[in-house]
Amino acid sequence: MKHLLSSLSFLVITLSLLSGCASPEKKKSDLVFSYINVDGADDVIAFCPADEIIMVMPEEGGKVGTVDVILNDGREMVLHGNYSAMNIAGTQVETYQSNNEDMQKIFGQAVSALPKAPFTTSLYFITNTHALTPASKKAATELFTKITARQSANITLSGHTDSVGSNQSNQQLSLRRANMIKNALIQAGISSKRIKVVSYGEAKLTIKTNNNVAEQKNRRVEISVR
Amino acid sequence: MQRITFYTIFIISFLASPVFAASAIGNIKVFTGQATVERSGGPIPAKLDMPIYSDDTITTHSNASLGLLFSDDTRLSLGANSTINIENYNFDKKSHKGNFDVAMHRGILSVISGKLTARRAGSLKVRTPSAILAVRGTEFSVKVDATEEIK
Repeated sequence: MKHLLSSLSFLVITLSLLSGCASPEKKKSDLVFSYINVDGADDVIAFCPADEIIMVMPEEGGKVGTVDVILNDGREMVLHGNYSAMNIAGTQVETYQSNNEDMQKIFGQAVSALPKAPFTTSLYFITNTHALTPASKKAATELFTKITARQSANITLSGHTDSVGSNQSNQQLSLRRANMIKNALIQAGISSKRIKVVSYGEAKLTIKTNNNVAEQKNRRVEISVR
Repeated sequence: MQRITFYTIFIISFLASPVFAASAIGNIKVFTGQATVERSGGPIPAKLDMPIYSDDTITTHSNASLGLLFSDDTRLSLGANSTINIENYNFDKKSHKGNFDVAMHRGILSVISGKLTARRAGSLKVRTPSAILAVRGTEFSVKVDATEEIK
């Protein structure tokens, strides 16, 4: 008897699903493939027009995403982990495990319009000059490519020196360093309107030192890109 | 006459000042196709770099896509034929406290949450016609079928 009841409820749900979903006017691309688990029965495959789809996407750095879903009728559900997804069609709600292919198919257009993450990096200089170290010269080429690839990058350059020399001469040196990077960015095709320059002399050391200490890490321009 | 001009300019700038008092909360950083931003004063065509304010409603047209970067580093992007409304945005740059409420009316929306949810899980909420999505972190997408298609 128990068994009969459970298979009955399964039948009712399946029927209502089918009648609720069948819609011949819908184009095939509007249909979503979903798996519905009902009362321990085998997976039932149904074609259903999706009113809403929510999907957790994989992230950089291996972190796992979580979204709490509170439905209008008060039910609460949690989507946790890459490609965990939910399909809401009227009062029907199904959670399922999706994949990269479906993610691209459904959301690709929006995903590819996501702006790149803002970041900050530094380039380093040879003592008492506004010439980059050989390593930073290489890094600068890569950095400029990364910046010019963005549709709308706003850049703040802050020039710094180490504690060798007078405050006044270091103030000027830090400004020359920042302006050197600014000119290189303009050469690379970035509009000067997008570049803001500030200079701090030896006021903001990365590595705290006594006065008149040469320190490579302090001879820098910090480049903040948004 | 000069005095009248002076006073007129003074009054106009005074009346206009509340418009500038509200500060931008984000910018359009990625843009293809056509889109419209509705704010008090009527709809304006979207442009790359355009500042975005709380209460703005953004609608992309067909074949358009648009990406937004907000001051807490939250990123939102829309596919074609999509509409969102920025219901509420506040972010304290020092404490990273605040709230971000987005209403998603139709289309596709991708989200990468930023400093707000890093500070407090759930501080970014996306409201769809069927549910409220409280974001603990950090990347997800939503698709809402256009109202006309819902029986």
